Amino acid sequence: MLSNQTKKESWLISCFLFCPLLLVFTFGIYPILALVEYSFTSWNGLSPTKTYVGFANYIKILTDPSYFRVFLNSMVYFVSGIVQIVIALFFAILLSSKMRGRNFFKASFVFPSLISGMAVAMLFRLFFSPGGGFDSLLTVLGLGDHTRYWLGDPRMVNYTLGAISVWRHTGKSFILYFGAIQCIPPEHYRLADIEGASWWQKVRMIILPGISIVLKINFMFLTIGAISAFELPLILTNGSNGTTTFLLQTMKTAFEKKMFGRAASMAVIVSVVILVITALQNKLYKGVEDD
Amino acid sequence: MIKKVAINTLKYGSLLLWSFVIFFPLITLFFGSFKTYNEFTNTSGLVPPVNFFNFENYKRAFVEGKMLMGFVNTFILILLGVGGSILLGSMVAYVINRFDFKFKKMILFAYLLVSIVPLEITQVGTFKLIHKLGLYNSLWAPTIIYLGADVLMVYIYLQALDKVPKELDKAALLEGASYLQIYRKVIFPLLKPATATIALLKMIAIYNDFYIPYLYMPGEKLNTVSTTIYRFVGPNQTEWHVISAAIIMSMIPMLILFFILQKYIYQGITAGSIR
Repeated sequence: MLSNQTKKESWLISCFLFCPLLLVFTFGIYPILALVEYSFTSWNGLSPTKTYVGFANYIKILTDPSYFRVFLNSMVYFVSGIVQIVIALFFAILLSSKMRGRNFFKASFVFPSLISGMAVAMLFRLFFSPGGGFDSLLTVLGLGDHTRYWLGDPRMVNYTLGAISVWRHTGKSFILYFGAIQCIPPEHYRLADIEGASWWQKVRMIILPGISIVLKINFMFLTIGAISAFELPLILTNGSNGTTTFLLQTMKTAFEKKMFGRAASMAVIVSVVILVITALQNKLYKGVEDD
Repeated sequence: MIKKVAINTLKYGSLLLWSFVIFFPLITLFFGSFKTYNEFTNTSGLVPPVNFFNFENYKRAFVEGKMLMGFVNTFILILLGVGGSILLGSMVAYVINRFDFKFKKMILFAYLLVSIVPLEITQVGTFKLIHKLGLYNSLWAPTIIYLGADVLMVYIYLQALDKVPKELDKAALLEGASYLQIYRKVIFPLLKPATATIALLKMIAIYNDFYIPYLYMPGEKLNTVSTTIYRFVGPNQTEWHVISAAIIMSMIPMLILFFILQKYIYQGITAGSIR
């Protein structure tokens, strides 16, 4: 027999969960399951029938080195993600204490995240073009000899894309950290002040633990972002000159080459890689917390 | 004393350096947007334009690029996406954080899985579904994907709810409030900072998004700001002075909105209401 209170509770729970779960299962979970199904077919995305081909797609991808070489490009975005975390955390801590010009700096740091990725890509296509803003700056600084075709030179282009990625995304991490620091109850600082804690002790004992969840989530998202980077190379180079990423290749395989089966197995592989990395990271963090 | 000066120099030095890194490319873009074609090709990016009131490029970009339509479509997507995220996200987080029920672990796992697998990559699986549901080439396709496949809001609300003491719920319950009233009148108002954060992050995500609208809305009347610029640059490759103006224009609405919302973002949960 259910008490009145429990009945009310379960009524509320079902009401509140119905719409969100419908959406998340239809557009979040179902597509993932569909990917797995497609990955065992040679489907072209159009025909009503799908031919099952077993593991042929996976075997093709895992044995053809040209599919995997592009993972190396992800390293650039991973390093750029680390740089983002360091810069964002540094400035979030710096600006969470009262200081002159605080509002101006906060606003300017967040600004690049507000610009559409398209605008960023086009802005830097112009900025890094031969004779563009960056070359002009180098010339003024007396480094004119170092100018090159930043977005064309295969040895440079991935670093250029990584740098653009830092410029664009640091503000987003900054907002997350800054917001989390604001949510730390001021009593904690007051207590630390009474006990005579130094600035660095406050950072280590109060701020970092206080924002650890956000840091963890953010690091996870940045790692995933590194593996799934594709917008910048899509718009700026269309994957030429060795800038293609696994995800960009997946998209092109599906929507340009119309090989949905092959693309789906690439998607499954990248998803599994991401799941494994996430699980490993979670384990790692748990280990650290236990110590 | 010397130590303090040194620390301040380091502090402000690093802040100013990063500000320069952020603004320098934008300033060259800003200069370029006021230059004529000849001026643009013959002067360095560091040189200001002769005439800061030369709005010819802006006029051309706005009219030829059909930017107004892009703005309108993007704002519809933001309205639906942000509103939906706040409503659905706070509801889910409230129920998960405050109640125990069957399948809770499974639901959390579903959200985790969806948040881990990149939204872009699942589109290979979503594509056919959108077609089947008749949502292809409509504003509903991106809206519903933003709500169902981007679940950051649930995590932000869950974290914020952790800091709202459960005693508040109990007190309200004792005073005879229903759960719905507690959610609406006690919990939701206390989540304001999280709501503001989510609104801003979702706005950024939707405004920034290029691939989803590009994939699902090829129709010319459904261009968003991003796809407008992409499709404008194609045939106008050589006219970077006009493109510069288009890029600057695409930044303006976000800038205005940011200044309106800013104060909500930076305002922590006020100590008074939580204590």
